Amino acid sequence: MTERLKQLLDGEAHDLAVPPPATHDVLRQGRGLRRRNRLVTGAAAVAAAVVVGSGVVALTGDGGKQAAPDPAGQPVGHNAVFSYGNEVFYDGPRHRAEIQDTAVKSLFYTSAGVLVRHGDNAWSDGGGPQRFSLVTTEGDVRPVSLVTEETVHASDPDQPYVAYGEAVGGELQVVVYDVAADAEKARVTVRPTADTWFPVSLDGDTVYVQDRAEDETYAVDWRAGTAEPSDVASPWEVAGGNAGTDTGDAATVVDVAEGDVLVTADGPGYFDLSPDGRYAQLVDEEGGGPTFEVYDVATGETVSLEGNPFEWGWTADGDMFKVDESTVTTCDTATGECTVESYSQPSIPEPPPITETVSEPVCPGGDSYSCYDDEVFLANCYDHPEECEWQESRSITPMTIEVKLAGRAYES
Amino acid sequence: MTRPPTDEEFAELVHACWASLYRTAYLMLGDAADAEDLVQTALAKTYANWRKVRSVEAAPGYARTTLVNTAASWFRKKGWRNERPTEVLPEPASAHEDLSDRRTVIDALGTLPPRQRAVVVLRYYEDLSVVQVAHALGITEGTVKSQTSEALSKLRALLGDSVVPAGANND
Repeated sequence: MTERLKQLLDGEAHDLAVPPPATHDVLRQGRGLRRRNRLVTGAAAVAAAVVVGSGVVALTGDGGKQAAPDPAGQPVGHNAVFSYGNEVFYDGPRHRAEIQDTAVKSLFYTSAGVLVRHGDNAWSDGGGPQRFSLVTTEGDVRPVSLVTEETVHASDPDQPYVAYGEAVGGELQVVVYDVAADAEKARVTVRPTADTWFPVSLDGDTVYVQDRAEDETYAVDWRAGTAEPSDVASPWEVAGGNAGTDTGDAATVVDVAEGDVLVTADGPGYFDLSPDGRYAQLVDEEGGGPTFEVYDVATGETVSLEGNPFEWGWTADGDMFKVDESTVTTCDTATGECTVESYSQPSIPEPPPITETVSEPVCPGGDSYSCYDDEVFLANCYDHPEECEWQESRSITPMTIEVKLAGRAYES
Repeated sequence: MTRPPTDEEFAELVHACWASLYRTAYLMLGDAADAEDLVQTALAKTYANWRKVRSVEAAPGYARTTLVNTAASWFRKKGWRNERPTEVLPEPASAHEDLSDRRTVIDALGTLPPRQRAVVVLRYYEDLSVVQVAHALGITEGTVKSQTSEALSKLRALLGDSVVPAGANND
């Protein structure tokens, strides 16, 4: 008895003016979600012992010995590290350095100072070339000649390196780059791959890297040049010998070497580890409340902090901080005590909007996007682009000045 | 294909799904910007959760389910569309009067509370069963039935018996 209603619904729906697909925005949002959805599955256990790849290793400089001492003399400090636009606050809000680029994308703790990833915009993914600078503990800004694109990076606060995976000639290669010496330290071929970007973390001599095409994580001994499959199900959260994982029932932190469960979450969510791996922030993206818990991995004790977990960054030694327009709040994750420092947000001009273009098939007869319901038509266009007319559409995205927090991963 | 799609493959999927998803989203939400936002979010979640999607063939269905689930979560948020575009129902149409030419179904949907509207769209546009609608929106089957009945009564008042005949509530 509702046939007429359905008929009218179908007709009016068909006549709707459908806006063009927001492909760029979907991909950008999807990458961001993917980074945040890194909930892992499977039990945590020690890494498998089978060596699957005796990789090609190329060591430079010291020939594979321990890294050269930190040229700055001491590791980065214990204060908040963040950026606003292209201004980096490298040791609390009173120590500021300017990066000669449009915007900062993310900040990494290394033993040589704060490694800054920057570029033409603040986008973490899909934003063009990713350039790097090192801000030393004295506030000197040293350009690093490394340039990457569509690449995930990771650092270890105790080492002067940044690590990443890249596909070279159909093979996954792990690169360890010495940001103090401004030179590639090691390159290890892991395995053939069909993928193009690789989640990664750096913990001592091990780079954990995921080949998403095979849904497999590898532990790469970058000094020895070997790679083994790892039961660290997600490479996003490995630090200080610990890994954030999930037993299926709850988020846990495990000792990677022994496989022991060190901490189990009391509520839903996943663990985001501090850069040194000693603390774990429980992030509940689905629900969450006005507070979140930070666990001491060694003792299991927790402190509660207020706000959205993503509003807080990590200091190099495991405290948490957040930044607003006029204050920086840093909280001791062992005690929950917080200190507030005043902060003067820099007055810098808004960045110009970004224009992107995308090619899309033109529907026969120029009939808007109606042919996008026609799977056969679309498939043929993508399989045989020469048989279809294509049009370019432009999207203009307004840009804002963004705050980036060290210890917080922004990459997909 | 167990591997994640390349950006080009996913762009192709976006193009193929976009119009259909947008139509459902617009019917459910009644606002172009919200509908576009909903479709974008559903597709982004599909991209981000590829491990669950597993294949390009399964992706449109996953995206559609995600779209409805996401809309349902929006409805649960306090304050979602508390402001209503049309709060006052018009005088009931007589049995002999067909108002369908004067008022579109989309206009009439705009007078319904968000969840009632979604129930109507899922039942009569997406052709989902009562059980499926209940599951999609996270409500009981009884609520689906009562919301359907109430919604159809309102639509009948606006669109006339020829569009929503008396007794259609029991479909």
